[in-house]
Amino acid sequence: MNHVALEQMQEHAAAEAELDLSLLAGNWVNTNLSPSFIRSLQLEPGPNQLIMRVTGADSGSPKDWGEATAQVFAENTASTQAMAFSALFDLGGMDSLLQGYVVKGVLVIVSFTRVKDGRERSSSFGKEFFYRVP
Amino acid sequence: MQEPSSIHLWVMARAGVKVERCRVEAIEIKSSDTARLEISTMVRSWVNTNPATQGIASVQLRLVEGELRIAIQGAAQGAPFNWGEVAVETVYAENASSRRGMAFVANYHFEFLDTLIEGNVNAGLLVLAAFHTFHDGSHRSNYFSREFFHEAAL
Repeated sequence: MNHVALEQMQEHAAAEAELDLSLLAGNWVNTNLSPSFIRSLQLEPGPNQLIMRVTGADSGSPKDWGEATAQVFAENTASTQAMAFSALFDLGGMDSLLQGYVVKGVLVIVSFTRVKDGRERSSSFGKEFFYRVP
Repeated sequence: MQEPSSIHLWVMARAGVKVERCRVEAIEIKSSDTARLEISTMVRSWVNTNPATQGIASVQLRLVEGELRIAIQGAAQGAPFNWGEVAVETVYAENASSRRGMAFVANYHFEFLDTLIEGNVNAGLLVLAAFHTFHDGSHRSNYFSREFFHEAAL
C-alpha cells in the first residue's frame, strides 16, 4: 500500500466520529398502554449506528416490523454523545420514517408514515413516548 | 430537476471553515399527497421563537403549481444565510383517516452535508427537526437539532 492510500484510509477512519450510544441503546416500551402505532422497540448498538426492531400496535401495519439500521446523531458537531436517530422501515405498502430523541430519559418517537400502494388512508404523522426497560 | 440555485454557508461558517461554493439541489419527487391533503395551516412564513438561534432563523412554506416547497434562512453570527428552496417530498396528515396535512419531510443536499428536515405544525407552532450528516471527511459529529417557529407577523 502506498503512503497516499494509507493516509486516505486513516483520514476516512478518523472522519467517522464515533458516538456513545448508551443513551439510546436498550429496550423501550410505550408509556401509553393502548398505543396507536408502536408498542415497543429495541435499539441494539452497532458500529456507530443502531439496529432497531419494532413491535407495532396498529392493525393496518405488521406486528413485527423487522429490523432497520438507525443512523445516530449527536447534540452538536463537537459532542460524542448520540441522543437522536433516524430510521426507515419498509412495511410493505407503506414506509415509516422514524425520528427518535431522548429527553430526560424519555425516548420520543416521531413517525412519518407514507402510503405507497394507494390504499384508502392518508400518509400520517404521529408522536409517541417510551420508557426504558431492562 | 431544478437547477442548483443557492449558496449555503451556514454550517461551514459555524464550523469555522472557509467556503468557496456550496450547492443546494432541488428534490425531483413530487408528492401526490400534496394534492389530496389540506395544507393551508402549513403554507405560510415562520420565524424562530428564539431570536438568538444559531440554527434556522426562518422558514417559508409555499405552494407552487400543486407542489409544497420549503425555503430556509439559516442564522450564523446574527446574519441569515439562504439554504435555498427545495420541494417537500411527502406531506402527512394528523392520522390515517384525516385529510388535514400537518407534517412534512424534505431533504437538502449540500456538497459537504445532507440535512433531513422533518416538520410538523400543531396549535400554530411549527416544530422542525433537522438531521445533519457530514460527508466531507471532517471530524465533526453528525448532529440533530430541533427548533420552534411561530407564524411571521404580516
